[in-house]
Amino acid sequence: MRFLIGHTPAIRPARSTSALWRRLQPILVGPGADTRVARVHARSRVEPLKHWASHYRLAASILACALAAWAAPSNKELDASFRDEIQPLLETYCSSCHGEELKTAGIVFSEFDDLESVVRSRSIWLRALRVLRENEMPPMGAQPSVQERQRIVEWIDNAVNHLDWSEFSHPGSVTLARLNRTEYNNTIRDLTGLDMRPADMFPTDGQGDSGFRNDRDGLFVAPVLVEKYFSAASEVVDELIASRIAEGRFSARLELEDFLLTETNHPRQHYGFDLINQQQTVYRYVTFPRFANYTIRVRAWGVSGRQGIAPGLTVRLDGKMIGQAHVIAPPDEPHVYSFQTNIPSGSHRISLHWYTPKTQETNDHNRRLVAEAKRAKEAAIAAGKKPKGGEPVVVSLDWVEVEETAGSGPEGPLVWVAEPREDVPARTAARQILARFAERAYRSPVEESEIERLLAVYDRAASWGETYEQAVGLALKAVLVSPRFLFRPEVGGNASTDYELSAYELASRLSYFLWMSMPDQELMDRARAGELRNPTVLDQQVKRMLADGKAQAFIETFFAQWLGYAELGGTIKPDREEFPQFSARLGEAMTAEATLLFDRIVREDRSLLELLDANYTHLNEELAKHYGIRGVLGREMRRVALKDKRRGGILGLGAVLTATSLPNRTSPVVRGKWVLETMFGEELPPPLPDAGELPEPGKSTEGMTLRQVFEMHRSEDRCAVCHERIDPIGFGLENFDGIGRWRQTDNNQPVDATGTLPSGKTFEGPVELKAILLERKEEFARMVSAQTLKFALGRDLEYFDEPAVQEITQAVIRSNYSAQALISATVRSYPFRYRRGLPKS
Amino acid sequence: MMHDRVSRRAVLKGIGVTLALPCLDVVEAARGAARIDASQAPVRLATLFHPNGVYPPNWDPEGVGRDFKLSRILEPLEPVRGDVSVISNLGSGSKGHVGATTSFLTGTPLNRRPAGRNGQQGMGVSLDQFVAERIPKRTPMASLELGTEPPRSGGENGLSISYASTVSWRSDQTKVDPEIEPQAAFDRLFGVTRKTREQLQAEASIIDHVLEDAKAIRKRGSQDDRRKIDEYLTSVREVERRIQGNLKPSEAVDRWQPLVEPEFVRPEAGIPATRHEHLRQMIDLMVLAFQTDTTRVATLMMAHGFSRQNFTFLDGVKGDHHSISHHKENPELTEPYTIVSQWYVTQLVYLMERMQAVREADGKTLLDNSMILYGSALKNGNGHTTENLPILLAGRGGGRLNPGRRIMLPEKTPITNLHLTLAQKMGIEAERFSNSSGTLADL
Repeated sequence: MRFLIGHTPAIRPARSTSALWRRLQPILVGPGADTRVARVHARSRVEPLKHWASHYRLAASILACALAAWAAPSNKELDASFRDEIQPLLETYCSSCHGEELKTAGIVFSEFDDLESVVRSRSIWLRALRVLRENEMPPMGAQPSVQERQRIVEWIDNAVNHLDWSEFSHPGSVTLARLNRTEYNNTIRDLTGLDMRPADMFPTDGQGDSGFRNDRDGLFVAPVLVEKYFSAASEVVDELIASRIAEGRFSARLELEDFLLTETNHPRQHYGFDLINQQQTVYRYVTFPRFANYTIRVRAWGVSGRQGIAPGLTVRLDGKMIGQAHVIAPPDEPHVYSFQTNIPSGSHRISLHWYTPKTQETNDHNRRLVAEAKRAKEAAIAAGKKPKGGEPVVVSLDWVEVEETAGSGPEGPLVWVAEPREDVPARTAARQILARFAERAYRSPVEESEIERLLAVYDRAASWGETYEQAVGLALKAVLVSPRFLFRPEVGGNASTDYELSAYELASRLSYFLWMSMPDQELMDRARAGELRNPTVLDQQVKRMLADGKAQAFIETFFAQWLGYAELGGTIKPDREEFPQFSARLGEAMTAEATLLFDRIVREDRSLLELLDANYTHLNEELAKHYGIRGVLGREMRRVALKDKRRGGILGLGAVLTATSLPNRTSPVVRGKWVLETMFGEELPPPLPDAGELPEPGKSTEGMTLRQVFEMHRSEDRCAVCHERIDPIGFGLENFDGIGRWRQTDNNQPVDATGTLPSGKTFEGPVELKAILLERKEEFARMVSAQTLKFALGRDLEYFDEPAVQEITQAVIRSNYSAQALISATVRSYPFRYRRGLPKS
Repeated sequence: MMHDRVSRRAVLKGIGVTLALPCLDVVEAARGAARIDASQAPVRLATLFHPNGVYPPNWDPEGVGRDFKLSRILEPLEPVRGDVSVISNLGSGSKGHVGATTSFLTGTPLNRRPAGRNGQQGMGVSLDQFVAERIPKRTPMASLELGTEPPRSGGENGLSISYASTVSWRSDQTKVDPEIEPQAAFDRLFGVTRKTREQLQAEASIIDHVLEDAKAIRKRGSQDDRRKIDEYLTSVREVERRIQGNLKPSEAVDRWQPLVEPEFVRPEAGIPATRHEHLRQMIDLMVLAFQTDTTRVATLMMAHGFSRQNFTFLDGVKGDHHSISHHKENPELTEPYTIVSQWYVTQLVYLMERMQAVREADGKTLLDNSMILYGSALKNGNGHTTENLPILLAGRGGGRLNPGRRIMLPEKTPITNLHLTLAQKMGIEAERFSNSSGTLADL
């Protein structure tokens, strides 16, 4: 969908007053693109937003109201004129192609019979408006007169851009929200203090039509999932019981002599063990008392030998890597290398493995060693001695310590809030525990009768002889598999009236939007005190929540799913033969680079336009090398100022450039389409099914760049219509290869990254392309707003969400593209705070 | 010792040392096996889904009846050709990958939902779920859904591509996602039998509790909320059924028992490194599930319905399956397209050979007692055609099928006619399935 915002003719309120409007606009509503918002308010009969409007906007509304009421046709008039004037014109000039028979582009104008049907298919009519204005349609046959064309254009313009939305006001209804995997994991973490991630074992969540995996329509409940809810609840409760029973902090010193070896004929050393070649592994099982964060320390040193290879050590738990270290401590100064990880209770395998680090740091170290060895050899020869043979490359291991990390757990008890004592019967303590746990798990007050029902579970278990912990545990488990925990019921309202969410429901919407987890104590307290619906409090809470570490969940998830690189390294995997340079680690660095950009913009409340272009990015050594940027050493990601404008912003991100490529090559079509659709919200028709995809480079394409191959295959007119818009943008990004590296040549030919857009604008390369795209910043603001609203609601947008999207967009533009203004406006929007129930049956 | 028959190895292998022994009742249930009628083997229904269509000239065989000539893609069937038929002229008339995949077992493609409504529209129940719901509930699991790829992101014609990750639908509201991790699938199949009686009892007691919670929400919720809660209720009841089945072994006494105790090997955690190994492990699990009568209905998504799996590992192939499938009649693409399709057919051959090797108590093989529907929801990937789909039907269905032929049906026969026929052969009394217009007399 292409939306026109700002000083374009499209926002003139009505034909007869346009000249007057132009003169009055600065006086009446102030400068800028606020006119449509003012109008939405002015025409809104229900005015649910009145508490939220600023004085300025309210004043503007009143003035605009006076003007608009006299100027623009009412919905009733629009409805009547559609039937009387517009439909006959469409029938005459458009129906030969867009009629029942041909249904060109899937559009059949006779299917529209009133204003409402037009509003419901707004995107079609926006397209119609554009092609009629630009005289693109009708392409042949009888042409409407100038007056007729103008009449149709005006009508559509009024219907899609200057509509009285109040008649179509609808906050939408969200399907009963099931927690998705991320939400489940985070909620368990905050509810129990155990960051166990049990939902990692659940089936992958589908993605609804909104494109997000929190889309409530894409979240199904199948038997396999419910089985896993039961196992996850058992795991969590078992750990809760273990954490209560285990006393003190667990720690153990494990001497290497007690480890098992994969090669039994290998000599042990008096101090422990030497890993001499890459395939050796030492391992042993350790029984951990409870789920906790543990620190694993390894005392080790390394001998790099004359080959000059710095040895490295990998530590794994049950085969999963938890950390690596370059063991460059010399034999006379052993070092204790430290790793941290969460480990569940029970028996787990700790194993130590060799690896060969290849980084700038170790390479420098290696070069020094090789040079030293060479000097020693030359010195020996010069002195007439026999040079000493080189030592093998070795990682020497002394011992391993395992200790529960200090201060890693929650401060006070989150679950075991009461203890049976002499004066406190076990059942009373159980009652307190269950009441507190249920309220937090259900994110709302819990009735006495429900606590009684949970106690009945406790009683039954106690009656067949379970211990106190086991009996309480069983009732806790009942809470964790209850639909009140697994879903977020919002049950007020009915089909005909809009319902303002209760304070608790609002607290949940907020926390699942920004934290993808349950509300914390403060949100619950505010809800209980009835303050949460107060806009000032709501704003303060948004600020507080964004400053909290838990907001990482929103930042990571929202952008990755919107921009489509969430699966990088998973289902998005470059071909190993074509791109051997792409590794899982590089993919992780790319994802981290993207996340850090968004993290900075959102948390520091910077301009959203930095998404389009920024003079910095975040890199580590591996990624910097990949991009050809010098001087970044080590594995940690850090901010790097960019010397030129090639990188910077979304379009320079390795994650995005890789995700918008095919496994074995770039695709200008995919990238161009991605820019238009994902960044600017344009709706492009699907390709014709027999259009075919580009052939793999073969004999017929030898010595040609991808672009040349492409142009050869795009000679068909029916394809060119869209590809003239898509391809130039994609070609402008051809300087980035299929895994985001900068390149000057493709297939040994220089890359031609020039392009001409349908507007006639020409550019060369990503730097100039970005400058052109920045001119569309208002369309970009609209797209960010629409996407944020989708994510916040957990549903796809509908035609009636248009006023909310416009409001958020305007708030973003007015605030000079402030990232936090985007979030605040989303949270204040009508569909976020209201809902409409669907018919009961 | 006698207990070896219910293989203790099966229960303990790979599970670690802390595991509780199986509850005794399961062992007792197995003791009762001798009482059932060995001549009445159950019929199993398997579906293997092949993504992205085929190159038609290399799929369609020459000739009809028994004397047909295997086409290039079907060449791998040579060793088992007596047990498989090629069925021509079945179609769905659906559009696109998402439409075709969602209609493959349902007959009705997913539609865009109208504005203001929640949920999906237009889907019906799929053949596997239809059968699983209606056959006598004698097995611990009603059906098994396996796959190799998680739902993919992106959209096609306004439909989310993630809907093409499965062909199994309980209703238009309930998508059944396949399990893609072999170990998790194994645990699902055989996990519940490893719980102690106390654990099972405890779970049964909290099921009552949550069912009550669900009913309370259902009462207050809207129509759509109810539908969601009903999904939950149905699923909880399924869990309950499995628990009860293990708590009350008397009901499990007439379970069909394997003639020879199979080898249970719990697969390693994670996804196998190669596609080949991944599919083999999934097929092995399917055979194991049938052999032990853990389920009688199984569906394997060999890949996502819009699969972009990279097939460069095959000689003569470069690129991903979907890109190759839009071949525009270019021999540089139709050739690798054919090689990939052939590779998928060899997976069917592997399944058939594994099933042939399993002898059952009635003296026949597992393949004799099964019906395997193999096919793609698209004919030609280039143009997304959905008539005359590539469909194979393998196995003898306990004597209900007469395989080894090429069966020519009238053009544009709805694929649901095949589904209805298979459902009837599974013993279900149904007169219609989705948009079926009749049954197929000669299979």
